[in-house]
Amino acid sequence: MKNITDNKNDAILRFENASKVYPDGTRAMSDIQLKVPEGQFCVILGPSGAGKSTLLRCINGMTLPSEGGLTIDNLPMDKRHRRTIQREVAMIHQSFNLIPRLTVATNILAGALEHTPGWRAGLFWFGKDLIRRSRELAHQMGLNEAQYYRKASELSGGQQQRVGIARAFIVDPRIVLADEPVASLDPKTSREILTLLRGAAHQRGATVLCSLHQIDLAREFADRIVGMHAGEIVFDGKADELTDDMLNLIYDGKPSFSTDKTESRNPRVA
Amino acid sequence: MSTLHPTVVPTPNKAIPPEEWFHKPPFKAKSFFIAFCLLVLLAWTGHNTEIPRMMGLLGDWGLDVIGVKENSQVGAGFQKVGEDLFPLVIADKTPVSRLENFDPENLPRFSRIEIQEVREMTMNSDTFEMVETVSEVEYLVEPVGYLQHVLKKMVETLEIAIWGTVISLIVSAPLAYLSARNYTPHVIFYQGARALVGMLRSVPELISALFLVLAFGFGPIAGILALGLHSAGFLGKFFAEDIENAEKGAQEALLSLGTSKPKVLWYAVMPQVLPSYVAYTLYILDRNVRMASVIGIVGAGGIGQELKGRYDMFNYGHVATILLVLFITVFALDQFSAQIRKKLIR
Repeated sequence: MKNITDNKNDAILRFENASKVYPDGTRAMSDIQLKVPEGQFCVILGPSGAGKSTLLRCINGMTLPSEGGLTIDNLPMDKRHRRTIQREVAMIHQSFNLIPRLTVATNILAGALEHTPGWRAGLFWFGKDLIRRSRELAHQMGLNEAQYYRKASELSGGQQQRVGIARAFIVDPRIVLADEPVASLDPKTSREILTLLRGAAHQRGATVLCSLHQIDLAREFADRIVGMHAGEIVFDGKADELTDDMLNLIYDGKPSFSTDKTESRNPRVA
Repeated sequence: MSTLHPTVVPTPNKAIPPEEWFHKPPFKAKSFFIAFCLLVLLAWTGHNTEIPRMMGLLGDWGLDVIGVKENSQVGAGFQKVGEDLFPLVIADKTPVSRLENFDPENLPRFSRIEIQEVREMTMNSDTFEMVETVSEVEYLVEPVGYLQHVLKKMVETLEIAIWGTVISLIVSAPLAYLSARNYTPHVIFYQGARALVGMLRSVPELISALFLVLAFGFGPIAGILALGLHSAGFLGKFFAEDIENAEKGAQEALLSLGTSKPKVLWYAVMPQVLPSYVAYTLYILDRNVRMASVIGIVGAGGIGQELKGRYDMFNYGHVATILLVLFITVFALDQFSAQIRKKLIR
């Protein structure tokens, strides 16, 4: 945490030797070093259990690193700054995590609850500006008026994720986290959703950290790809630097296929 | 890399072949032991609660019904009750002499005057002989007067039940918030609210009504408070459990945006749990209607007070009318709440 103030503007997000050990002893992240400059679309690749979700959950304060430091916009992530940081960080979830029984409109507006006084929030009474913004965002995400006033649970998966993105962007976040945002969507919808996400982020200069399982999509959309294996960053580079050897390193933890005949090949990276 | 991160994948030749995998049996010796213990316990408690005698009486009754045996105690009892309950009394018959401001020119609607001869044995004070005297008594007969009276009492019971439910909602809402582990402001509130909820739930309405009647006097106030406090305990517990078990996704989404806990509760939890809250409240209303009829017995207003009075005067025809009205009301309420539930849980 000693160099919080140096190189002030080159990174909005900085992990310094950050590790996370859960109370049950699982080591989800070990010795992470990562700097993300503002406005970058950074994709995180890695097998399930590699620590991608833990990394993202550290950034939005849902869990704190057990060792090392994390600074966001030059603020150290700790209990004292957590709420302040959380207002600048929005998240898009794999299972959308919308409120099923409320309308799309309320779901988008719920993203701005901390910008609405409690008594007005209690009455579901949002400011005119917020309502205008939510409509614009819904429109930008390709939702029409009928869909805007429907219950969130009545929409298809792709449409729900559009609502999720609109909810994330209503407060103009500095950082947007996306935890496998297209894992439950078909390839065409996935591409649409990622296009929308990248468009909205570029328009507002927001930094995006997005974990993915689709290597082709990662190559297509990412400004930068970070590969994780067993809680460590094993690859960090541009899309064209992601060779087959690097993929093996990310998904198998080995630079190339082992000669050990007893272990089956991983068809995903073959 | 591979040495740093040894992957724990068992190689196929080291693995146990599937035919040697251990298959967990559905029952073990322990299961049989537990079953045996439960059986012994049931036998012991059954002996204490006269289950064998009940079996005997029921058997006698069954034999009586099919005509093998005669004079079953249970059969005779039910026959007596059946004869007493019917016919239902729905008319009201009052001696005119007992009515104040009685105006024969202006009778209540549908009512009529009946004159009945009443034969009485009286003792002649001179001769000390029993003499039969015949007197004519005028009665005001209202054909559905008693039914009207019972319905009025039933409405009063419904009102007590509704207000009891309203009070239970008002009391249980803050208790639920405080006693939900994931939303309570502090562990002290959590423990306190849980203790209070447990206490409210552990005192039956009938008992608390007994004491509330002493404090507030006869009438509906005691009934409303007794019902409200007891069902607040129930609702508080159910509401809190629903908050604790609500689906976490939407809550986490809002929490990660730095949203304060009460707002998350209001936006991400309440819409989820509202249908089951309505279902619980309807159940409590249904239960309160039944309990409101019972607590009238200790003087807490409503139809129970009427029931107790008629029962004590051996007016079983009147009792039958009350029971019928009660049954129809509860049945109608059940249908009504089923409709609402169907509409809500979609």
